[in-house]
Amino acid sequence: MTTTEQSYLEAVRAAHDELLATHDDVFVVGEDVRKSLNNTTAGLVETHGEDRVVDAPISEPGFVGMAIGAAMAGRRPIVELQINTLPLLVVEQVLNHAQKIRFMSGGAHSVPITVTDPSMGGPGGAAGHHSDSAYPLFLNYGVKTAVPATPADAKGVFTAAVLDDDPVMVFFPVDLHSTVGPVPDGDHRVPLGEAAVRREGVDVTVCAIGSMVPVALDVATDLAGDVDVEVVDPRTVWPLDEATILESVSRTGRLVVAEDANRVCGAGAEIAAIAANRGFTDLEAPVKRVTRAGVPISQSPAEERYVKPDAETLHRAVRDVVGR
Amino acid sequence: MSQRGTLSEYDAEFLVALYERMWLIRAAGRAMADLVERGESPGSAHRYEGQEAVAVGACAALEPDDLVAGTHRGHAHAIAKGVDLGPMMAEFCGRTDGLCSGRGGEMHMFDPAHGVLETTGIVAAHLPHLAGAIWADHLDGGATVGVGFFGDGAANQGILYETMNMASIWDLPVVFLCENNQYAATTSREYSTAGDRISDRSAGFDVPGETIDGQDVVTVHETVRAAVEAARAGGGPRFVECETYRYGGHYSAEERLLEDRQYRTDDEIAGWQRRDPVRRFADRLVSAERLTRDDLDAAERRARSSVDVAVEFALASEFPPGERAVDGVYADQDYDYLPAPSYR
Repeated sequence: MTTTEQSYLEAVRAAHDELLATHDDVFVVGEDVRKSLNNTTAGLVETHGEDRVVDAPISEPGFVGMAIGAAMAGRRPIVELQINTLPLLVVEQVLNHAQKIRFMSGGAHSVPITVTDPSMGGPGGAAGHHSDSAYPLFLNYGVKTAVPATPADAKGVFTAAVLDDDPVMVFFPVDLHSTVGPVPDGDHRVPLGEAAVRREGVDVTVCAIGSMVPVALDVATDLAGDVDVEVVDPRTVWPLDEATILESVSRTGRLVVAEDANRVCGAGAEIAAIAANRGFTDLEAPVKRVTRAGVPISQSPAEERYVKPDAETLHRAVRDVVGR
Repeated sequence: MSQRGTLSEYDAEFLVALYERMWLIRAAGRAMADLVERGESPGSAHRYEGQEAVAVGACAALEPDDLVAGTHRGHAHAIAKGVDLGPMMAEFCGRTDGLCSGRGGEMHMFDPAHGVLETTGIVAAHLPHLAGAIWADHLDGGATVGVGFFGDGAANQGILYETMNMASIWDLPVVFLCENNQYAATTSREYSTAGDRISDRSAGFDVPGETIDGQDVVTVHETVRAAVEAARAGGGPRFVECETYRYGGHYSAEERLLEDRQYRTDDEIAGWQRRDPVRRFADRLVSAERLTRDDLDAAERRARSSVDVAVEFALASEFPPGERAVDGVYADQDYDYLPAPSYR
């Protein structure tokens, strides 16, 4: 299979293009998706037509609901949420309807929608309502949720999500948009629920989500020769590849989870609980989580930096669990 | 209020079918309340008695492939649309032979085979689903029409207006049908809802709206038929408000629950019962000499008998075992622990 060096965002756009070209039932709906304010669908309306790339009015619950209806009627909608807090606005339609309709209808209906947040985490300086990482909310109700961390995964995981017959939330961290990497050409799918070991190591497992993956790899490089860090990227936080995480912990005995999301009931909380249950006898230290502080993000830069997880805190957490 | 239609353009078969279908809903509702009393259904019953002309008149204007969606009183729309009564009753009782294999129950009935897209427990939340399903068909060049039923209470949910706006800008063939039964649980429409008529709201979205007498099945039928035809011909969405009334409470537990704090007077209820849609239609059919009392009595007997058979079917159907509860959430559940179990 051939690959192309692409940025994360270019890979997201390429995935949209490929999906629209290959699958007649796929269409994109969201605000400003024709002009592509988020750069995820630039030029696609010209290629695929106005019926496949649809601008919606500012009616998030409504157009997510309409996408749900279209999905029930056999289409495969991609719904783009323009701003990273907008998942909060559509929680009812996603958790209460998209996620429940297959079950409540006794299997009569499928709801194969994919809802994207292309600017998860916030670019810095966007303050309280434009700096969210809302993905943990969806785990509690069992919604499939992905946070791909590389350009190849941005394409591969997102493609798998769109072709999955269940609702899937896909979060594209804004901090990763300009990272570059090899992206397989053509139909590239990464199955949901499969973690990737980004770096092998023996002393500690750092389970890093999304934008914390490159941070974890940098910390691992810094510590090389002193502490040997294994970095596991779950790729999807639900379903979670606990087998890979637990296998890693069985060798290292130590686990730190790093995520750019609020602490309480984050993905890290579920991972830590699983480790404390199923990995208990392998653990030689407490499970540590490096997360956001549970506060709204300030406009002011130093305040924003203070509450977000960073390399320094992850470095300290790793040293805390290895005890040196 | 719209003008009353004449009966001469309808054949007797159509008229007796309308009457029988109204009785089917009425008898089914009574049977459902009885099943709740007897403990054969785990939930409660949200009865539709008094409103039968609305569901029946409206659904008689639809083709089999057209879609309807409703809310907690949706068993009536499902029956009016033509679902099989046995599986519907079994669904109400949470049994495996139910429309949704017992998972949805009274408030969440789905029957795509008969064009019942959805009934939901969250009022108005179903309207974008209906519009979206019609949108998908419309984009494919289809001509399916959708009728979304909702109450006066739901008429205050924002998502109705989001949906109506999108249906309007995209010319979707959706009829928004507001069943104004004057109350949302204990809260009167008068108290909660600004404006003289709920249908006045649609003009702001370029959607023609009208308010009609929901207790006259022919008026409902003709109004909805005109709305459906206009929508199907490319005229975009329509809004029809039917003034109607439910004789029973919001749900079956209400009588006991609110015994000492009633929100309606006996006089008010009696006033609406004097205009009972089923009896009025019967009287009109007889006085117009389209059908005889015998014809009508026979239709009523058929309806009651169908309900009896359906109840028997429901009670003969098994409850699913508890373990089945964690199946059928996802398209495939081939992951280690999906869904999350209650204990590990």
